[in-house]
Amino acid sequence: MKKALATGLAVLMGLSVMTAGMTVTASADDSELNIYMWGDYISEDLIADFEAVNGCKINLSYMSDNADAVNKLTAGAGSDYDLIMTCDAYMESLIAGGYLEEIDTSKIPNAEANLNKSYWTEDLRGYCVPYLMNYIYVVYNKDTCPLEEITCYNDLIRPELAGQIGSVDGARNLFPIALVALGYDPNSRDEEEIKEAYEWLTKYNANVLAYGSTEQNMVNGAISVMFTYDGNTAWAMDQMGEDNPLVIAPFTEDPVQLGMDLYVIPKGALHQDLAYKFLDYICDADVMAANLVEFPYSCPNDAAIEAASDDYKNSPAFDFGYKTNIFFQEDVGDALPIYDQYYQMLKVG
Amino acid sequence: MEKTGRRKKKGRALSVLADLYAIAMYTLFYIPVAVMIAFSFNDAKRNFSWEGFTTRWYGKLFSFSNTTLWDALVYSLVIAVLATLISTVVGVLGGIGLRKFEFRAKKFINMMIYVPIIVPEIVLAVAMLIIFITIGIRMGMGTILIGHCTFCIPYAVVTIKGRISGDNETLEEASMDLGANRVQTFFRVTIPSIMPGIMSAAFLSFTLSIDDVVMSNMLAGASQSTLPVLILSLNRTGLSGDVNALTTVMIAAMVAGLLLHRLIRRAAAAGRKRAEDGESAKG
Amino acid sequence: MCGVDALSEAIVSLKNVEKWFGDNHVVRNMNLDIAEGEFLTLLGPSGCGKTTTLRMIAGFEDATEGTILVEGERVEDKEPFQRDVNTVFQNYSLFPHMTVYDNVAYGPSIRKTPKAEIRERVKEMLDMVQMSGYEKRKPDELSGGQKQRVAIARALINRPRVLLLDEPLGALDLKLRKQMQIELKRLQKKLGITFVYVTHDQEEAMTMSDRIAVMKDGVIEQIGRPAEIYRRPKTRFVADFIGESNIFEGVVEHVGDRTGADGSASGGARLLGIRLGAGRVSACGEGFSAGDRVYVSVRPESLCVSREKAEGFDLPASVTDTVYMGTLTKILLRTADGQEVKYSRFEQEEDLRESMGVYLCWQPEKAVVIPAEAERGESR
Repeated sequence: MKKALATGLAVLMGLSVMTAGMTVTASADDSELNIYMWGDYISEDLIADFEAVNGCKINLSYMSDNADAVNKLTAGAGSDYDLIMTCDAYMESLIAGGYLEEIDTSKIPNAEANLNKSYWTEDLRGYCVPYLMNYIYVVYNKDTCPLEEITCYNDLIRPELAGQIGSVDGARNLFPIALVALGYDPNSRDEEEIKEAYEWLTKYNANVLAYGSTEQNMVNGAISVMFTYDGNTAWAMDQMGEDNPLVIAPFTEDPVQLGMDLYVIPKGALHQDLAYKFLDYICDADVMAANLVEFPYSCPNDAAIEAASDDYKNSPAFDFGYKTNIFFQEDVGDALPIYDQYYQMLKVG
Repeated sequence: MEKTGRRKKKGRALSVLADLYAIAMYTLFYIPVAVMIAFSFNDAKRNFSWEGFTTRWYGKLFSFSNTTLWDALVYSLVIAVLATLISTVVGVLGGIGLRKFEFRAKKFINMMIYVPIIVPEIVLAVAMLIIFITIGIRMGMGTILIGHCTFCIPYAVVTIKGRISGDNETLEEASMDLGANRVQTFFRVTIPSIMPGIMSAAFLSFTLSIDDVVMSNMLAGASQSTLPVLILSLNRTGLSGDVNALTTVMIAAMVAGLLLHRLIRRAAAAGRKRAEDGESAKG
Repeated sequence: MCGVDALSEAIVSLKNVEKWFGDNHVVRNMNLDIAEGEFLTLLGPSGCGKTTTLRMIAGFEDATEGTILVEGERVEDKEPFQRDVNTVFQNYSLFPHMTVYDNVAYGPSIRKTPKAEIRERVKEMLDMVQMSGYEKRKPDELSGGQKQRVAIARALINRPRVLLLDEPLGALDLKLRKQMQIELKRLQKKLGITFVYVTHDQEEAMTMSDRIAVMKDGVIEQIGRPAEIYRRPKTRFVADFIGESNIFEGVVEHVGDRTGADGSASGGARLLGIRLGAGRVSACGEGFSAGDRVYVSVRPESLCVSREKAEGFDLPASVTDTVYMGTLTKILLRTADGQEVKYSRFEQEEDLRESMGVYLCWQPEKAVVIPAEAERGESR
């Protein structure tokens, strides 16, 4: 028995060394496509179809934070992947760092034809293809909200809303609305402005009942106002039924934050042809429309929205009038520590 | 009389307090598990509120098309088993070496063994990522395995080292005295006598490996993610019920394993008891 | 030297053995021959080097210098498992993960002995130590005495010619100890194996040994038969360590003729008149001259107490305490210079009350005279 144990051990050790060795070599043929993205964020049917059509295998591996992708890219591990999902806030530094392959838009005609250029901006076009998006906006319960109407961020710090707000968290989500409310650039790098934003946020903070789980608190009736993602709003509206009292705040002037999940091709990716094929594929109107059934989020693909189901098109969570009055999270570079510092002060009280 | 009565009362109060404490602790431990199991039967897309009973998550979990979770679980298990084997073997050698032999750098090594435990895992992970890239190793199971070993091995060494006492040395002497050479002594006496330590080192390594997110995340290759990384990734939009179902299945498997172990031990003990009773009747 | 009658019969011999642990000189120029079939005890207080000596014979320690021969062969380069000696350890050192049977069978199973033979020999051994029926137990299900029996069986199954025992009874209670002492001695006689036994318990050594080597600070102070060591201790340490002794310090005043009845048996012993701090006494000794500084050692049972001075004695003392212990009475006295003297006797010869003034004396040949310079410990 002992001999068997020893042999088994030796075999296993050998095996582990072999697997370690095997990973050293990677093929450059077009039989596989390695994508690094969020889990449960793309239709498996869509993946299967693509595999069948192109006779390849798609390997999906998953990030647990947006920073993971940045870490991999900056450490130089990008070439392990052919497509990496990241968000717009990191684009500037990733481009500047030379971590990304330039994208030849002529190879992705579907993107050219279907994507809304107000999202797929000039700055980004050469390096990424947007996939899905999310707005962070204000929603209130018209039956229980102490205010008649909320039309700007400054309404959120009115004393009537004490203990009424549920909010998303994070320095880079909270400071921009304060800066917008104060009339500054939402991606300001000016310490004085950030400090003022901090003071604005202390008043906001006083009105917030809880950060996170906004939609749940809204459904439970614990809050009457939430600053949250459109996807979460969709869920809450669905939960509260057809005639739900939720209203997307009719903002008049203040822009809303739009976050985009986009695909980039990391520098030195081995299967770029297949990556281009995949990008073009997901930009196809019908393909994306099918994907939206499973993942009903905001989408930069106008043709896909056109082709999407009525359910999606009529979803009240995406039905608001200022969809293009938006700002993006941008790289704030050296100012990031300032944000972190004031954010911590905000959290500590 | 009165005094003993009071003491009795005091004792009873204390025991009630102890019971309450135990109940509180167990509640703290097991309520999350119970909630998770309950939600695996929850008929809702997201686990915020109870929507009704369903077994559809188990259906989804065991359906043919649902390979993502199972692939990740198998991947995690393979890595955990290999990491356990490697770190236990190294732990045994290191533990014995650091306990038994005197050498110049011993104090230093004894101290340095704690470094991978103390240093934040993310720091190690980033450093290893950079090293692997520099020397041209592609990320994958091998790199995750190496990453896991960097923190499993120190725990294994420390655990096993703690189990070796002076007694082990006399046992080894006894073995050699009876004619066993060093190799025979190592396998027939040294290893079995520190088996409890080896087992706890193995369990610890396995748990650390299968639980790990940071290394598994940073050092993962393109082809596959481990289960904890996948679950964390899914958590962005809220976990769906099949993750709860999978976790429930894992807990059930673990509990079944523990029960089986208990049963086997009880059977063995009963056998021994019988043998003894036979003897005492005889003698 | 401390010889066995015929050197060729020595089964173990140590020649000029030295052992250092760092700066610590643990065994000093040790010369020892152990005869085949004898029961030799290394006796001494803890730290005297007795266990180290045993471990050097077993092979667990290397001698820093000198030669160790087992059955006439040098063993310096032999590993413990190559030496034909077996050890019974102080803490039994039974393998905790093995049953009694597997523990005892360990030696032969390592030597690839056929299973049937192992079974037979284990049975024989367990019968011998009266442990049959316990084969399936684990060591932690045994009492201390049972563990010790198993340890002995395990060490004897290899049929060693020399068995080394390192305080094997140290962990047992007194009653069990006494019983095991007798059993061990019987076993040794029956098997005819050489036992080298380490203990710090002089009574145990006296009960069991053919010869005792009394050790102190890495040196054998005296080696000999128990009665010889008891009756004629060669150093103050031995006199003190073996049994109870009253030791008086003094100077030889005059050397006389041997006058006692058994004078011829004592060879060249002379009657010595010795001056102590608190009086004068007489004792028999060989090779002393006037002016020598000496110790006089007298066993409590050899002491006499009387109201008058005896011839050659003038040692007044007063009774400080009496303890009746059944047939034996122990009496404590104090001499004029404050030295405590132990005296025991079997019957009530005379009523001795506390603070009573008496004179001490003894038969001169019952006292042992030890030269003061022979006492190494004292000179340090």
